[in-house]
Amino acid sequence: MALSVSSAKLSTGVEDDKMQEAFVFPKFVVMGHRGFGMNMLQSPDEKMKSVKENSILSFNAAADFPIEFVEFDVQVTRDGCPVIFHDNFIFTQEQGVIIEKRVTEMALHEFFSYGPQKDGANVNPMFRKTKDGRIFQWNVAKDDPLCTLKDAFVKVKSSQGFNIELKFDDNIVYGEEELRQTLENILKVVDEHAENRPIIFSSFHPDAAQLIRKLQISYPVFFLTNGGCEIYADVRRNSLDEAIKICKEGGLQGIVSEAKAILRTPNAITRVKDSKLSLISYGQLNNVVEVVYLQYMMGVEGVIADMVMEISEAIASIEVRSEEDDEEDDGRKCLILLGEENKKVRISNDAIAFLTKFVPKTTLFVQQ
Amino acid sequence: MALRTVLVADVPSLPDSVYGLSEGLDMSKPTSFKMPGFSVIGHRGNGMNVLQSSDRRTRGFKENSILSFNSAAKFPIDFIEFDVQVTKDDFPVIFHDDFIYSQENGIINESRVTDLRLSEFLLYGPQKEAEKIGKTLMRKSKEGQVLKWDVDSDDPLCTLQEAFERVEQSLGFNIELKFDDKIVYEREFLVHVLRTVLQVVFDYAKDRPVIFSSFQPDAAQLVRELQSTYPVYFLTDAGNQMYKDERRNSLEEAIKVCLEGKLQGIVSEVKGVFRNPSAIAKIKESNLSLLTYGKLNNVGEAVYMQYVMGIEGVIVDFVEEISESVTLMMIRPPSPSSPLPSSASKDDVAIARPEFSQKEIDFLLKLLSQLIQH
Repeated sequence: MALSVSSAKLSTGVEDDKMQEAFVFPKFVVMGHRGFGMNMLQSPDEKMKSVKENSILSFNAAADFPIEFVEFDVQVTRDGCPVIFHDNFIFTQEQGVIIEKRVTEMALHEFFSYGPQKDGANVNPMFRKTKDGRIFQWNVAKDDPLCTLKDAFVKVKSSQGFNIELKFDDNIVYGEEELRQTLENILKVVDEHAENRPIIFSSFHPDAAQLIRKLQISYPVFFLTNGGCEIYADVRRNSLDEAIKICKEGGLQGIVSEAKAILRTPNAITRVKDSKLSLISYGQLNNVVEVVYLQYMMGVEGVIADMVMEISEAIASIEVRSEEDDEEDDGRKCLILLGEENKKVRISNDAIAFLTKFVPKTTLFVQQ
Repeated sequence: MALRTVLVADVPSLPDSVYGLSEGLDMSKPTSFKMPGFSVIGHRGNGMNVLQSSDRRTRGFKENSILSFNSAAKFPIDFIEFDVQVTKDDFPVIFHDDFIYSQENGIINESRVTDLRLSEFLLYGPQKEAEKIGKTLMRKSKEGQVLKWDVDSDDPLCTLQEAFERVEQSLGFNIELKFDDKIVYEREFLVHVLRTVLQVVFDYAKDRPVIFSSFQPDAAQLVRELQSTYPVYFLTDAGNQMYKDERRNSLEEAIKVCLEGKLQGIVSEVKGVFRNPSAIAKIKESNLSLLTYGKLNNVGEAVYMQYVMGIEGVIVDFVEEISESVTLMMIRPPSPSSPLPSSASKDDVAIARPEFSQKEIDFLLKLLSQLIQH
């Protein structure tokens, strides 16, 4: 396991300057998005509908590949139990009508009543609403029951790291007391069951991210941002520079950003590193091998991806060579060899410099 | 104006040197055409106008005007591109939009260009005679906003004949034959319009290089049937938008249109090419020339990639910037009329023209095609 226990846990009760020690991943990390990849029911791609996202089955399937963490979303039920689910609402059918129920307003036993049961029955099948308002039956090739955060600690391979995203509704303004209560419920489960498992906390909610850091310093905390790909009322959510501020103010360890935001302004990577913060990315672009290679070359420290198999294998086959080692050196600066043995592509510093200038201009021009 | 059939035999023979080809065009075989070196082509002269843009460069010169054409001629470019439509009384004029807008007493008036007579058309915008005030020219944006067509350097509307007479003689013209994408045209009508345009071209072109192009598949094939002096290109947006006419919807369809009609090449929206780089090989195998247009052509790196990929020319808005970076990249050798900027050092040249291996280029292209799709 790449992260040793001592790097994942910082000693408790230490003064400020020790807490500001930069957190660094020992090598480029690949994290499985919601386990073995999110479900996208409207996609023609079968891979986006193969294993139920955010399930024990998905987490253990991802653990078979050379990845360091699985990422998943945690919310807390009405009766205080942290569960793993992405959407704010569960869609279900009652007397032929599709209705929505807020996860945080249901008790645990009701949450468990939805979707496939442990005995295989599926009395209350789940539906899902896409961003454009269409409703689909939540059918996947390999289904699995809903689970709690505790279930994950107990049933998932113990060497698999967890990137625990603290999920909140982007449209709700939460009071500090409510946030604290929710985070304390989650921390209770983590403290009881984490043992030696590497753990990272993350959140899009700026106050929640800063609060979880105040409540504990054992595990690194990352601030999630889409870096301006969408604009929110809370300006702290709207750019990479705002994200850097949140991290510095709150003593957070790093940023998880939408890949597009990073590609649009590659010099933000330097600003993040200069602030002694770690930088990883998420988003659909991370399922494209070449885009992941590009981020690797630009200095991003890791990616959250759905295509766990393809991306983890692509990263595993990167070889870095310096000028002296390279027999085929034709006089150009040589940096990285990418790809499988018979398809190695040598990418020079010139190519990286070219791409760094070029890529931001392409993503800008895409919306014409 | 009496209609005159333009017989192949009537066509004035052009000096062989016009395209740098030693044989000129041989009418007996499907003629292939190669641009002389890598060409930079000025879009609507010195660049199209985008009235709602924050970039001042898109509101410099009035697009499609003699002033714009002659200012573009100062740079090392081979052709300018512009749009030709024919007025109700059979005069080819230079204007891009299907409709022309003016504002009088707070009311917006809309007229179809091809429904106007020449004298009516020329009433819009600044007038040639200093004392005359023309109709206030407005323009409707894609989003439906009607704005005053304000630019830094304005100029009156002009005819195709005036362009031939008043624009720098050595500058080639890429004449886009403009039709309304939503109208289905009868062959007879197209023939009449095209002959009207061709009459002006043959009367006034003299030694000037000319290329015809059109998004309208029938018009493109027809202008080739009607004359074989000048090369004809089929314009396509390569699938960025879907049209009822299948022939407009992909590069593969465009190749078919060219082969069926014995056209010389394709002008494609640039993203369509980057999204589908394997189409380039098919285009070359069919002995067709390939040019591109689109906003991405205003990015120097995108132009360099296309040069490396074997594309023969780019239509650009930022004529000064792109012709300069093309010179800097040594894509065209510097010449007395366009020397390397004296400020350029050896390092500038090295950075501007990186040397890539074929595998690196394949990687760059794969990356680009993915980024464009997202």
